[in-house]
Order: sequence, then structure tokens, then C-alpha cells
Amino acid sequence: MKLERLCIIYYLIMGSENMYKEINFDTLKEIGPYDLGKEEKHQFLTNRLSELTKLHRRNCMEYRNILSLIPYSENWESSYYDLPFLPVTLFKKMDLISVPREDIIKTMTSSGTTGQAVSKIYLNKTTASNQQKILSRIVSNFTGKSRMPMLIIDCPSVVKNRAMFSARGAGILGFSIFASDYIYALNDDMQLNLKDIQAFLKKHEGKKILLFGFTFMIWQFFYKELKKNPKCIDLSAAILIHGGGWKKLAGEAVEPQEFKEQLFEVCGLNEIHDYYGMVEQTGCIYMQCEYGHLHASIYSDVIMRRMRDFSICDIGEKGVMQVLSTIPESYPGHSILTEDEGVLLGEDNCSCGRKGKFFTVIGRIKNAEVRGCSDTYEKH
Amino acid sequence: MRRLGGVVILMKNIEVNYLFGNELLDTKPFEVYSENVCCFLDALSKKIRQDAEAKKYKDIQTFAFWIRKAHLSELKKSCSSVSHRIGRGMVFHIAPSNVPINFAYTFVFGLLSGNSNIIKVSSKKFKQVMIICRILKEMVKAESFTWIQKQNAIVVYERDNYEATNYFSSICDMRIIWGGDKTIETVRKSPLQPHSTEITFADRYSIALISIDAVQRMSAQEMNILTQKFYNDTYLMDQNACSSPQIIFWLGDQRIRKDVEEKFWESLYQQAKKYDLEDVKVSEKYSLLCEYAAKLPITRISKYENILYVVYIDEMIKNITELRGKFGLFFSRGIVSLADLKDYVNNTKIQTCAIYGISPKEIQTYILSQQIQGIDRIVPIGNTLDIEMIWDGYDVISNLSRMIKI
Repeated sequence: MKLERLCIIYYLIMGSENMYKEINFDTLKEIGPYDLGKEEKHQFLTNRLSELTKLHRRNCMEYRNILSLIPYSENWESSYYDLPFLPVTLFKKMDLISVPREDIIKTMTSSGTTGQAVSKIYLNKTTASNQQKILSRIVSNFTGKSRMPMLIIDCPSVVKNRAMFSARGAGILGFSIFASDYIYALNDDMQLNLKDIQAFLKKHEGKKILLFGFTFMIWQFFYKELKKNPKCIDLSAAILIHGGGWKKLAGEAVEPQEFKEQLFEVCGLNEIHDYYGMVEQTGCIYMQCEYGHLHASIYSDVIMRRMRDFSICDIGEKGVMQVLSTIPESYPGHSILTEDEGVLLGEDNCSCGRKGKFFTVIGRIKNAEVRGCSDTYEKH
Repeated sequence: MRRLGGVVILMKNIEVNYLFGNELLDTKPFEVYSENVCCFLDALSKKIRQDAEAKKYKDIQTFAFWIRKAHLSELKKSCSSVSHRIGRGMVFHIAPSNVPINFAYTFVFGLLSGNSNIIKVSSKKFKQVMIICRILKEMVKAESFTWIQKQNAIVVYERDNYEATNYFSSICDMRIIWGGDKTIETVRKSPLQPHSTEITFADRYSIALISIDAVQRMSAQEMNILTQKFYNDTYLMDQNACSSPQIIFWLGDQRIRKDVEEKFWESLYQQAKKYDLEDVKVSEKYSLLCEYAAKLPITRISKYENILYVVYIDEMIKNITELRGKFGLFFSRGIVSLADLKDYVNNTKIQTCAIYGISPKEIQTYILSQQIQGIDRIVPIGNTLDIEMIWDGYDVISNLSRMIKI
């Protein structure tokens, strides 16, 4: 097993110009999503990301112009830390595509505040498929490999249009591959289907249940309803994965710790994992481990930067997050500067045993437009 | 009818917040530059300069200095026909949302031209507005100044409260809208009385024009003074005032331009290190830079950390007013002679031309002789934010007052 893995890494490191055509995410299956240490990962990411940079430079005119004009470091082929990065808001301002239009099978949009433009992310078959594969590997690391009965904390209409859909729809569709059976916890006018949920839980009694939804939705439409009738359902054998950010809950004065405690109180849920992700880089999400740390898988990485000069922050120093992903081939989204602040906590040494960087996200930088997957729902 | 003689009783149910004054408004006009007004403004000037909180704001201090007695006397002298000018009655002002202190200037314009005033300020909670309203409220406790509160009000309400705008527009004798274009469009939907008119200050764009030769001959110290002035024109206002230069035209011998220009930007970069460069500003600025890099026919960009970005335009661009920077992102274009400027400034959006090393008279002559549509004012670099009584081509006092002809 170990020899096989060494061969794969050797193969990746000694890659050639056409590497991007040959990187096979199936081959990488042999390497667990949190199994690469700093040095091996650095080699692997630098190779893959520099190939993606060349690909996008060749095929996307706007990206090519940006790279040729803005004085970036020339060193990005030797280290991905020197890779140029696009500001996340650029995806709202223009269509950034690196493949012929007819190859686009899906368009994803971010949520935006009313009247604001939204990010448009264009996916071809390969990128969409790889996003799904990698999401699956990452999540299985936390939930185990078998499929589970799934309770989706959202309403059915959120995934109506499959050709063009928002981050909320994308998240649900993405996670639904883990489902052996599923129901929506809410109906289309956001009412909780308590009876149906109880029946579903009874049907799958004894099995581990997966709950998935956006943080704000869970609080607003799930928790608040359950609170009226605590312990009406027992989710002590379930696992909840939620994402979408805490911005909307700031208005309700709910902190992550309280979120967990309250959910436990009303339904016994005690295995809860937050995740950080964005529509501009789906697939390689950052899952929260049992110690409350967000983890970068082998498929992605984060770099915290000081905004004055984009220099790299020290461990423990607050900075704005740059996210890197090995997946995007149809759009130049492999290296993005977000508008979120975060702190790097360490690398390779988290108590949970997973290798790679682990960090916390503090929140959106002050005064930036409020975005996030879970903000798409608007109150009537 | 809501007006009884000179007293207006404002309706109570239109969700308007009064930061100063109240619903009862006495609208008797008075002479321009009246003794009472100048006396009040001078006292206000002193009070502001003594106030601890106001001391922290440079723009408030500049305003206080501007309304002092000596300056007002100067302005009065240069105003012809003072003796037979009187206010129009009541002026409704809509202050802009990009320059916090502007509301105070427009209020003063209204007072000096002999009117009572209702000033609507931006719903952005500017500290400058709060401080000045507080000081005004303190001042009108004195008996000699209570009349100010009877004749003036400062209000704030939501932009979509059309009822309020309709109401104030229907009772005013003059309306003054300090931009931008969208606000003007919206406010114009509220009708005025037949005898009322308005003046508007639409979205404007400003440039700088620098002589390569003059800069080449500068000492390092002179250069620092120039870039400090340019900093005041731009960074101090987040490069967002309509008079902040967005582009610099380098006039003269293009062969020596590169070195000369680099010295300027390097010096400006040093000046701008003190600028409060918040994370969100960098994020926006960097996004704007990438957008321009992606789309414009430019060949070079200089980047001084994230403090200063310079975008060099090497091709003719038809509409320069689309080249806007923010938080320290500037455009640069070379021209060989003044004759080449016409192609760029023949655009009514262009307001201020900030200059160094060039004679303002020469430019003024050029504009007149070439029948150019742009450029309303020519000032030295460092003075673009100076408010004057002639603004955007309007003589404000004349517009806000009326002349009694015998």
C-alpha cells in the first residue's frame, strides 16, 4: 500500500507540461484526504496549481491579461505560495471561462444581497464530476464510506432548476450523493414536516442518520420549531453537517458554541460539523474536526495574507484568506482571495490526527457585502 | 395650504427625523451676507474650533476656518449687487452621500444668500453631521441665535421616503441637489412649485495636468510638498470626491517622462503610507485593478504594495470618465502638447483640472477658444477640495437669491 502511494507521489512530482490532462483524481483515491504532510503536499500542489495556471492563462483571455499586467512574482512554478490570485468579487463582474461555451453543463451562482450582482461559475463535465468526487472523499472521512439515510434541512424547491442553481441548491445536490434515502425537513413554505420526519426516523431506526443544511436555515426553521416541542425527535445517533456561514445569525446573537449546545438540548444531536466552502470553489470544502478546527484536505489549501502588501501571516495571526483548489479546470478559480478573515492554527499537528493546515474563520471583512450560501432565502 | 404668511407648518406623519430644528419653519427671506448671519457664522466658527470632539476632524476644522469673519468679509466684497439682493425664501437642500461635511457648506450657502433652509443629509451616519448638529443645538440656546432654529432644519429620512421629498419640494422656493446622477433623477420626480427652480450637481470627473519639465526641475523636498498636496486631494477623500483627480496627464517631452513620473509616484507612495488602508479597501481596489487589467487596452501597471496602484494608458481612450479609481488607484497618460488634451476633456462630466507647472490662464484660453465642453475649474494641485462660491459653473449666491430691480 505504501509503495503504491509513493509511486503516485513520484508520478505527480515528476510530471510534465501536459500534467493537467493526466492528473487523475481516481488515482489520488489511494491517498486519504488528510494524509499528506507539508512537504509532499507542497510538491503536489505546486505542480497541479502551476499547470492549472498555465491552462487558464492559455484559454481565458481576461485571466491572461491580468497575469501579464499585474506585477506578480515569477516564482509560482516553484512554489504555490507565489501563485497569483483573483479577487473573489471578480466572478461577479465578468464571465471567466476557460473552455468553449458549449462545454459548459452547469452554471452556479452565489447568493447576493438584493440588487447586487452574483458570482457566476461555469462548470464543464470534468470539473463538475471532480467536484463531486472530492466532496465525497472529504465527507466520507467524517461520516464513513457507506451511504446513510439523509434529512435535508431545506425545502424541495431549492433544487428545481438543475442547469443553473444557487449555492444552496448546489450544496444539497452535492451532499445528496451520501444519501441511501432522503426527505426534506421543510415544505415549500418553510414549515417543518414533523410527522414526516418522525416517520422517516422510525423507518430507519438503528441506523446512523445524516442531517445536512445551511447554518441559518437550521437555526431559523429547524431548531426554533423543535424548541417549541423539545425532544419530539431523538437525533442522538445522527450526524449534522452544516455550512453557509454565521453572518445571518449574528443578528440573532448566536455563536457557534451556543448553536451546538441548543441543538443538543432540543434533539440530542451531539455530532455536529461546520464546514467552510464557497460557490467559487465547490468540492474541496473545509470540514470541521472533533476539536472544532477547519481542515484543508489534500485537494486544497489556505493562505492567510496581510492586506497591506499581501505578505503571508504567521501562525496565530489574523489575515484575509486566500483559497487554493486543485479542481477548477473550466474557470480560473484555482487561486482566489476571499473577503473572509481567518487564523491559521497549525499544520500537520491537529489533535484529531489529520494532516494538513487547520484554521478558524472569523468572518467577513468589515463592511464587505454580506454574502453566503444560506442568505438566499428572503422573508416574505 | 400649508403656508400661512411666512410660517410653514410641516406635516407630522411623514417619518422624518429632525437632527436640528423642527416642523415649524419661519421662512422670511433676508438680505444676502446679512450682518446677523455673518455674526452667527463667526460665533459658530469659534465654537467649533474650541470643541474637543470636532478637533479630531480635519474637514470640520477646514469648514470652521472657512466661515470665519475675515473670510466672509472677503467673499462679501467680491460679490457684486449685494445691496439689492435678497433670499428667495426657503431652500430645500439634498446633501451628497460621499462628502460628509458638504451639508454644512450648503447650509451656509443658503444662509449667506438670505434664505431659510431645510437640509436633508445622507442616511449614512456621519460623525461630522452629528457633531455639527450638536454644536448648532448648543448655540441656539443663546437668545441672539434662537432665530436660526426657527428658520432652519436639518433632517434625515430613508431614500425611498418619496412622501417626504415630495412634501419638502412642494413647499420650497428653490431646490439644490448635490448629486449623484441617480439621486437627481429620483428627486426630479418630486414636482416643484411653478416659481421654484433648482440647481443640480451631477456626477463629475476630475483630472490632473502636470508639466513634465516643471517636475523634472524639482528638488526632492519640493516633490514631497507636491505629493502631500496630491494626497490631500485624493486619499483624504478616499479618492471619492467629484473633484479628486482620477487620471494624471503628463504634458511635455515623453522621452523623459518615465523617470520623472516614477519619482512622483514613489514620493506619493511614501506620503500614502499614513493612509488608513482597511482590508475592505484593498479588496475593492484590487478587484478594480484586476477588472481594468482584464478589459482595458493598457500595457503597464505599477504596484506599490497595495497602497498605490498606477495604470498606464498607452492608447487613446474615448471616454476617460469611465476610468475611476478608489483608495489610491490612478491612471496615467502622456500628452505632447495642450492641443492633445481636447480629445479627452470634451465631456461635460469633467469638472476640475488640478495643475502643476502650467499656467491656468493658458488652459482657460484653450477651453474657450476650442469650445470645449468639459472643465469648470482650474486649481493648483492641493486645492481641489476648496469649496468656492462659484461651483460647477454656478454662482451660488446669485442662484439662491433674487435681485430687487428699481
